[in-house]
Parts: sequence; structure tokens; C-alpha cells
Amino acid sequence: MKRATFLAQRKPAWQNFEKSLRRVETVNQRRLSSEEVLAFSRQLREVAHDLELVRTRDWGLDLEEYLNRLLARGHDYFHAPRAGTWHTIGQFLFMEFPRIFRTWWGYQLLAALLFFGPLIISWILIQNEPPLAARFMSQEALDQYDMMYSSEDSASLDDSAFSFDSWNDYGNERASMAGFYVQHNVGIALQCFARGILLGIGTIYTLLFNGISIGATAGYVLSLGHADRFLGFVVSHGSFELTAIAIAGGAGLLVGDAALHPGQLSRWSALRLRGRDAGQLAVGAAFMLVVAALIEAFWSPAPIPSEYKFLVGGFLWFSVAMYLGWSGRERA
Amino acid sequence: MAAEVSLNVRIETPENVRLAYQLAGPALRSAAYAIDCLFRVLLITALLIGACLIAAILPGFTIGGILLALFFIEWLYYIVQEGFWNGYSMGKWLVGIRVIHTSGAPLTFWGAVLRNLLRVADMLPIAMVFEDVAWLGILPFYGPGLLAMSMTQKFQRLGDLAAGTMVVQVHPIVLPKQPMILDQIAPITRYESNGFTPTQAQLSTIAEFLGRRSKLTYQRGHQLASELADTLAERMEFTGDREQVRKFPMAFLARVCATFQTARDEKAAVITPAKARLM
Repeated sequence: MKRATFLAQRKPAWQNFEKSLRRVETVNQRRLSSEEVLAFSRQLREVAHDLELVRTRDWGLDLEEYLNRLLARGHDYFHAPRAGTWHTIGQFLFMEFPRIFRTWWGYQLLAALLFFGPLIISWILIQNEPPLAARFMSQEALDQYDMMYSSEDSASLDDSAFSFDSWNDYGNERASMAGFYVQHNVGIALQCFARGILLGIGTIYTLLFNGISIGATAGYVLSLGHADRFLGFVVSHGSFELTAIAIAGGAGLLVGDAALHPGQLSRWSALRLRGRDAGQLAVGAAFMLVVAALIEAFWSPAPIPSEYKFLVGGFLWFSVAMYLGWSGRERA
Repeated sequence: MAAEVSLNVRIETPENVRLAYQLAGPALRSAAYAIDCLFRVLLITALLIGACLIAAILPGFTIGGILLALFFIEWLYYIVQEGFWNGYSMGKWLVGIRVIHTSGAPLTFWGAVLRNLLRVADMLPIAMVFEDVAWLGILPFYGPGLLAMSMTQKFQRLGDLAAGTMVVQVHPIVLPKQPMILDQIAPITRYESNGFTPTQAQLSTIAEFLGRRSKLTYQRGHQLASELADTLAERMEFTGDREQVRKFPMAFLARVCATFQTARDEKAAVITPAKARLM
């Protein structure tokens, strides 16, 4: 076969394929008839064959490029990832995320130690030796905590200066805090994960830094003698919040270690392989932090006796443990 | 392995066909990034103006809403667009580039998530210094990203490496036209060409060069053409007017094209109708 005949014969087929491409790209998949689908897949293979023919016979780069672009677009559609549904999201949150968490439990444990270890140490240290707090926190931060806890009339922690005239104002104020918690905390967790790719150094830094400063705050406030109010405020959302930060850190260590200990794989493939899981862990942690933000904004500061808050908080810690430990397991 | 410096990547598809893509380098990607930044700034401005209007009624919800929106613009701007729009973001679409997996498969949702979450690491310096000012994340300096791009053959930044993605150029699909009308051109005679026949690859190269002649300046086109024409004339020991070849190399190339391409095509038209149907 010669170039001119080939062109004359195949041109209509290519134009047809362009038409079917435009159709499959614009129309919902379910609306396509089976004939159309069959025709599309046949045309795709024909164009693939034409492309190879043009290549092997040197029939011109322009033609090759045209067919290549045509085929690439068909290929894109043909191999498009399946669209997600609500079911996929549920599947991810309740099955896959806890499973991935357990798969890489070693990294998670290390991250938890790096985060909770300094947290507890600095907490104990500063509660026993309050003047040390000045070394960990700025004077403004200390003054702020002093002021927050000096007014005893309101049960809420972070905005005791406000008095709520009505539930509307209360809801309004809470909503602004919810926005802040999502933006601030999820941001920290995602940064903590992302910096892990630089050999895990960024993650370790973020974990230690946040662990120490949270522990120092807790120790300082407790040393002022507000144990009941502070712990009552913190206990509920702490369950999701602190765990999620540790998980994001574990995800960061996972990608960071891929370059250090790739095992049998090349460093890049190890990074790709673990990156997939690490990304899912980070997204799961982000979801947990959104839950934590809602609890922190709407439940934690509610004017309710601390005993109830401890009860609910205890239940939440227990649920987080059950969720990460058992959710998504196969029945034995 | 000798590393070839080239923008071309070839991928073998499941149909055993090699698909070629042209990579997008740092320049194109920065342009797309700048446009995306502009969009984000516009989004935030619009948001703040809108917020001022609502703030009079619901102050708390507005602040919460703004913070939430800042979070979305900072973290989800790219993820949502690339994840649900076939690897495009506004900027990428305007510049004509998009993200695909290195296997050639279109970008998956998790691919988009990973490469864009890791963007923070790629643009480290500024994001690290001003980590408390969220919207400054819009104006970073891509130190690690550029470094990684310059060290990998597919211009991948760290996020791309982890997600197994690359950024390629998107071109419009246009069926190539015949470069010129060949009927009016006097063919080269057998005597002049000494029986020499150029290969199909050579003919295709000439045809493509002639097809693109309008994109070159006259001088540059002449310069390139004369080299090609001289070599070709030397090779076929052209017995016609060499002075003519030197003066009008384009015309000579057109003659070569007219002579041999039409000869091939005519021969084909005579011999193959029956065979062609079998193919």
C-alpha cells in the first residue's frame, strides 16, 4: 500500500473517530449505546494500527503527529479512571484508611512517640516548674492564658470575654471558630505530611515542635490551677485532633523513609509505592481533623459540667482507638 | 545509559502502541502557575468583597466561612481541578498543558491529591518562613521543585515523583494538508537525476520542511533549504543547472517532491486497488 491510497482510504475513518471522540467526551457514559461503545473501541484499535504503519513506513512526521494526538485523546478516554461515588468515600473512610493505618503501624508508632513523647515530657516538666514555660512560649501567649482563665464566670475557654445574648450569637461565634480550626489544624497536619518527603526531617521537626508547645501549654494552664476547665475543654476534640496529627506525621515518615530504605525497589518506585498509601493516610487524617474541628467549635466550649465532657471525651477516645484498630477488618 | 536531552517521551500503551508526548518544561509550568496564582488572588478578593456584604448580618459565620474558603483555596484548588478535570487546572488549560501518569494513563484522583499535597515541600522556602500567613502560600519559590525537575528526565518535581505523574503539552488535532499543489511543478527528468530515488523518509522530511516554510523568515528558510538542496543535488549527481539549485533551493526541493512523491503515489494507485481492499 502506498501513502496516497492509505490517506485516501483512512481519512474518512479518522474523521469518524474524531466525531465519536467528541461524542463520548461530551455525553454521559450511560447514555451511549452498546454499538457506539463497540465502534469506538474498534476505531481506537484501527487508529493505533494506522499510527504504527505510518511510523514504520516513514510516511511523514506531520501525519504521525496527527494520529498520535488522535490516539492519545482516545486513549485518555478509554483508560479514564472510574468516577467515584458516595459509596467510594464511605469505603475509604471506614475500610481503607484504617487498614492502611494498620499496614504501616511501625511508622505510625514512631510518629506517635515523636509527638506524644515530648508532649508528655514538657507537660510534666512545666506543670512542676511553671517558670520554665517562659522558655517555651512567648510572653504574649502566657499573658493571654492568664487572662483567659482569670474570668471565672464563663465556662468556655477561648472566648470568655464574650457574653452570649442569644443562641444565634453563640452559633455565630462557634461557626467562626470552626472555620479557624479547619483552616489552621488541617493546614498543620498536611504540612507535617508534605515536608516528610525531604527525608522525613520536616515531619520530625513539626511533630516535635507541636508536641512540645502543646505539652507546655497544658502544663502551664494546669499549673495555674484550672485543671478541670482546661481538661474538660480539651478532652473531647483531643481524641481526633492529636491522633490525626500523629497519623499525618506517620504518613510523612513513610514517604521520607522511602528514599532512605527503599528495600528491593529503586528509590523512585519505593517513593511512588509508599506515596500512594501516605497520601491516603494524609487525607484520612484531614477528615479526622475536620471532625475534631467541629467538636472543638461546637461541643468542647459548651457550658456543660465537666463530668459530662469527660464522659463524652472518654467515649470519643475509645471510638478513635476502635476505629483505627478494628474498622475494616475481615470477620474471622 | 546516555541521557538524551529531549522533550519527547514515549509510552507503550496496553494496545502495544507507542504513544508520544511532549513534556512541559519549567517555563510553561511557571506560566501556568502564575495564571493559577492570579485566579486564586481574584477568588480571594471576590470572596472578601462578598464577605463584607454578608458580614453585616452574620459576622461569625462570615469569618468562619472566609477561613474555610482560604483553606479550600490553599489546599484544594489544584486537587479538585486536576482530579476532576482530566489533569487540567485553569492555568494549565490556558497554557495548554496537563498532568498525566508516567504510564500514559490519565490522572487519577489520588494522583492529583498526592502531587498537590506535596506541592508544599516543592515550594518550601517561603511556605516555611511564613507558615502562619496562609495566603502567602500563593507566592512561593519552588527551590526543591526546580531542583528535582532539573535532575529527572521527565521534569518531575517531588510531588510528581511520588505520584508517578508528569506534565505534558496539549496540542490541537489538525489533519496535515498536502504542502503544495504539485501538478504545476516541472518534474526532474531521469537523465537529470541519474536514476537516483530518495527514500520515503527523505521525501517525508522534504515535504514537511516545505509544509512549514511559511513559519520561517525568508532568509532562514533559504539558508536551511539550500543546505538540504545542495546535499541532495550532490547525492544524485544532479546534471541539471546547479546554479539554479543554489539560487532557488526551495524550488528544487519542490521539484524533487513533485517528481518522486507523485511517481510513488501514481504507481501505487495503479497497482494496489485490489490489494488495498484486503488490508
